[in-house]
This record gives sequence, structure tokens and C-alpha cells, in this order.
Amino acid sequence: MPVAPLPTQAPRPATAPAAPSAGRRRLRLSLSAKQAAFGIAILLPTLAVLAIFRFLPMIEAFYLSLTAYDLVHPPKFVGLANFVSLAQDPLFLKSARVSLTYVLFSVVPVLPLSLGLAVLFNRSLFIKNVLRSAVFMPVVMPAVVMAVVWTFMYQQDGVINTLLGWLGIDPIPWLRSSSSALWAVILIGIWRATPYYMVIFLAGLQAIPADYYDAAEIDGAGDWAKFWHITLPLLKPTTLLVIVMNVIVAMKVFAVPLIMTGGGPADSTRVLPLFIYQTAFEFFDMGRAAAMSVFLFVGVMLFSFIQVRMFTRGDEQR
Amino acid sequence: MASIEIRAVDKAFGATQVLHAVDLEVADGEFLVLVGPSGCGKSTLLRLIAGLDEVSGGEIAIGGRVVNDLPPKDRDIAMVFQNYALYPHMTVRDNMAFSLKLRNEPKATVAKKVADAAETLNLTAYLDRYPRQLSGGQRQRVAMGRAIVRDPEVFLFDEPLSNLDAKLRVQMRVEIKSLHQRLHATSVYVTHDQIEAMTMADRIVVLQDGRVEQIGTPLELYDHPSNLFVAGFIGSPAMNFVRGHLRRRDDAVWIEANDGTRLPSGSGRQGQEGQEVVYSFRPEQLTLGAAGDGIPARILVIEPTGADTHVYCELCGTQICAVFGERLEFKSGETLWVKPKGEAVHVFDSATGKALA
Repeated sequence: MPVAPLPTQAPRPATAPAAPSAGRRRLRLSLSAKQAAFGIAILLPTLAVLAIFRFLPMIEAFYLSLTAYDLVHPPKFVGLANFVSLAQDPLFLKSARVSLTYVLFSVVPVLPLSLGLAVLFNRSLFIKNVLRSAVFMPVVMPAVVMAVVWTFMYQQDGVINTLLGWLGIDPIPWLRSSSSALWAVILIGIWRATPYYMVIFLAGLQAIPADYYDAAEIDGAGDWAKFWHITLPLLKPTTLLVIVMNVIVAMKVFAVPLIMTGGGPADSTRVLPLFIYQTAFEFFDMGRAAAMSVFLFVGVMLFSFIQVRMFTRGDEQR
Repeated sequence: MASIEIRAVDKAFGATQVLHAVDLEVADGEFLVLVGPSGCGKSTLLRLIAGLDEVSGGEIAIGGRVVNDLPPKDRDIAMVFQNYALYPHMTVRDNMAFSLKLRNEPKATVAKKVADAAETLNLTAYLDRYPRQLSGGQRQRVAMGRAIVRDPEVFLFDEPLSNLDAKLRVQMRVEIKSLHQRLHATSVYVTHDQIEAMTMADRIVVLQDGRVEQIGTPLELYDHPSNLFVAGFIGSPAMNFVRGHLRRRDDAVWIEANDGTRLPSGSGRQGQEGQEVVYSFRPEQLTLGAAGDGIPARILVIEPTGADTHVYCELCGTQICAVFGERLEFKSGETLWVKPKGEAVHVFDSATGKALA
């Protein structure tokens, strides 16, 4: 049975288009290849700077961690000896413990504090802008200035002990006692980090559409239910960002303990970055210091990975 | 279900007065549509009924109870939002169950109500999905399901179809209307789309600049607009307007267009001799006459839509649109002879915009 032909495309011309002359031959790229090439060209300068000033020193540090190097004699390959030695070094283990304590107790309180302040400043509030600027002050203050000011405040007859005295509490030897020095340093960490993360939470809060709150209000949610069922779940990506950044920053704390206590008393504030610095530039043991850096790097990576996994579990299907 | 009474309601945001002494009654089980251009205050009025904003003056009563000082949750209302406002971190089931859980209803009751609503709206297969895994129409249905499970006295809709494409909009329009017919719920529906208003409403309220321009059934508004704004807003294609003056000689009354053409005004028209007026007629209220019989209109553009033919032409120096329920073989540049149906024309006072009886 004859079948009516379907309309087809116009037949191709019998002759192929003339090839470009050899002298004018140009590389022909598809549109996506051109876009990719443009993207790479834009990224190249940044990648080059990162490679020279970030990745190369990191690779160098990894290499140094496998050597014995005192800045005078050339590095000597020692394999994993630095790591084995660190694992048995009570000073290093104590320093790692101090760092972990610092991270735990400076990160955990910052979360509710910064979120609480963000919620407060997200509402219409009398002289909100003035208060917000005042709260943000610690972030813009240089760490050295801050450390010096707090050192004065922590002195035996400083502002803090005076205030405690008014409440009938005996003066505390904040920076001179091994039982209180780390807490004094942690307090500064909290004071400094809270406003910074408050701003990030504030941005997260302002990105939540008001319609969700309207819908929740009609559904019968009060302030607490709205916070618990709407704000917190929708702030999850912001919270993850804040925790990861906060942990990384806390693990790298250096200037404040260096200036205020130098790691003392009795190594009670010798956080890992400070110990790394002292090992490298006071004891001139670059290989050992590099091994500690690798340890810190792996620790930070591991922490971040676990946090991201914990927070994004179950998000894939959403 | 319940009636809604809005008495002399004012709303101001700072120095900006958004609503001016709005009076309105919505009968028990009625489907009332608030329609008007952007910024006319229709969504604000809906938010005031919902309790999401506070009135600046006047009273709102639901079911005979003044609700001015009641929070939304105590007004026994449900609202469907323009962009659905489905909680993105909750499944369809949790979205629909949220209000019931907040009320601490027993788990079995919650599950049954959600299942019933899902079945009504054909959502049973999607209960465990997240909003982002749904199409626009499905999300819209979830938003309605969230409202239905609460079994409220009043449903409020804030431009619920404006984010959907044209085809889906028509489909959802029918679904909402049939849902209303099944539930007989008192509903207030906000839209800027007059077609939606005409097709869905029991009564329409036309708002402009925070004031009620006219309230009536769709056909009342279509056939008897009380002013120029309503005449121009209701109907698609829009009503035609020709400027002119009212002429009265003995018992005869006619309108003289600005180019001198004599236009029939219908019988018993009020107004004074020489009064400046706007002569108006709907596009489909013209009849075709033989050459020389009627008013000449030079054709500009012809749009055959299949069912009927839209002819854009120049009549009395004004561009108008005429719709004929037949297929015409005219070309642009040719002249049509048309006659407005005398009883169907409207005459408005040019200065006040009010209709002349």
C-alpha cells in the first residue's frame, strides 16, 4: 500500500561549501567550547595567584613535615618521624586539647548568641542602626588592639574585677591562673565572633520570604512556633556556614593568646597555631612545626566534612 | 461558614492612605471577588480580613463577631497566597498537617483530614514529596489543601493563579469554582484579572485608589457600569469610548461626537443640552449595516480569532474595537458601516465619570 511521504528537510546541496583557504584557516570552536574557554581565561589570573601564594606553600609544608629542618642546614628527609614523635609528645597533646577546648567552648555559645542578636535586630527596634553598629565594633577592631585592651580589663584591678567586686565576687586572677586563663581567652573569642556571625544570620533571616511567616501565622503558629518550625529549618544553610567558618577560625586562633598570655600560664592557653609558631620560629624546628600544621589542616578538613555531612543528610531528595 | 462585614475600614501606612472608608458585606457561602489595578488596595483589604495587618479605622466582623483585635489564628480563616507560601522544608503531607499539629489534634484525625483533602485535590500520590518537586498547578493545589484541612469559616485567596501559565490558570479557575460549589465556603478572592473576576464571582467589588467603585454581580457590572473606570476595567476587549456632547431637541436626545457625527443615545437619556459626555459601547454591541447605512468606520487591523472577528477601526476620529460573531472578508483601509445598539450604549458625564441614566 503506498504511503504518503512525510515532509522532510530540504535536501542538502550536492556540493560541500568551499573550504577556507589555508592562509585564513581559523580554529573553529563550538559555542559551549568558546564559553568554557572564556571562563578559563577569566579564572586564570586568580588561579595563578592562588597557586603561587596558597597551594605551593601548602605542598611545601606537606614536604617539610617529612623532614628535619632548622633553617640553617638543608632539610633532611625523615619520613613520618615527626608525626610519630608528635603522637608521643605530651606538650603537643596538651596543646591539641587546649585547641579543642577553645573551639568547643567558643563555637557553641556563639551560635545562640549571634542568632539571638540577629533575630532581635531583624525586628523593628528603637535606634536599631546605632545598636547594630555598636555590636559590630569588635569585628572591625584589630586583634592586637583588642588583646591589649582586654589585657588591661583582665588585670587584678581592672574593669572586670571591679564590676565583679560590686557584685560581691572576689577578684579573679584572669590571665595569671592556669585554671582561668583559657576561659578569659575564650570569652574574647566569643565577644569577637558573635557580631560577625550575627551579620551572617541577619542576612539569612532577611532572605526568608515574609509569606512563610504570614502563612504560619494563619496556620496558628505563635512566635516560638514560627521560630522553631520556619526560621530554624530555613536557616539551616546559614547555620552550617556559620558553624564551619567559626570552627575554622577558632582552630586558627593565634594573635590573642600570643599577646595576652604567650601560651601560659603552664601551657594552659597554648593553642595549636601558637605552638606551631613557637616550634618554628622560637625553637627553629620547621619540620616538626610543619607536621603540626598538617595535623591541624587534616583536623579542620575532617571537622568541616563531618559538619557538612551532618547538616546535608536527607537534603538530597528535597 | 460565616458572613463578613467590613464597616468604614481605613488603612494607612504612615502618611499613605491605602483604603478609604471601605464598606462591604460578604454573605454566608458567597464567592466575592475583589478586583482592581495594581496598588488599588485589594490585597491590603484581604490582609486586613486575615488579620495579617491591623485596620487604621473601622470594623471587621466575621460571623457577627468583631475580629479587629483577634490574631489570624483566632479568626477561623484560611488563606491561599499568590506564591503559595508552602514551607519548602516540609513534605506535602507536613505542609497540610502543620496547622492541625499546632492545634494539637490527635494524630489519627490529622492523618484522616490530610488524606481526605489530598483525595479531594488529587494529591494522594504526592503526599511525601517536597514542594520543589511539584509543578505550579500541584503546588497551588497543596496550598488549597492546606486551607481545606482546617475547615475554616472563610477562605481568602490572594491572586492564587497569577503565577500559573494561561492554560493552567483556566483549569485551576474551574477547580476552585467547583471546590467552592462543593464546600459552599464563604470566599474572598483577590485578582487583577477581570476575566477571573467575571468567571468566578457571585459578586464583584471593583476597587480603585482604595475606594469601592462598584459592587454587583458580574453581569450587572458588565451591563450597567456605574462609572467610566468600571466600564473600562470590566470586559475584554475593553469598552469603546467616544468623546462628544449631549444634544437635546424637543423629545429627541442624541450625542454629537467631537467630529460632528450624530450617535444614537437610547431612549429617555438624562443630561443637559451641551453637556460634555463620553459615549460608550461594548465591542460586540455594534451591528453591521449596508454601505451608507450607519456610521462609517475605517478599518485599521482585522484579527480573526476563529470564533469571532475583532476589527480595530477609526470611528468618529477615535480608535475603537468591534467584535462580530462571524467571519468577515474585509481588508484594512476599507470602510465598515456600523450601528451601535441604541439600548446597550452608555453615556458618562465627562467631568465626573458617572453614568447618565
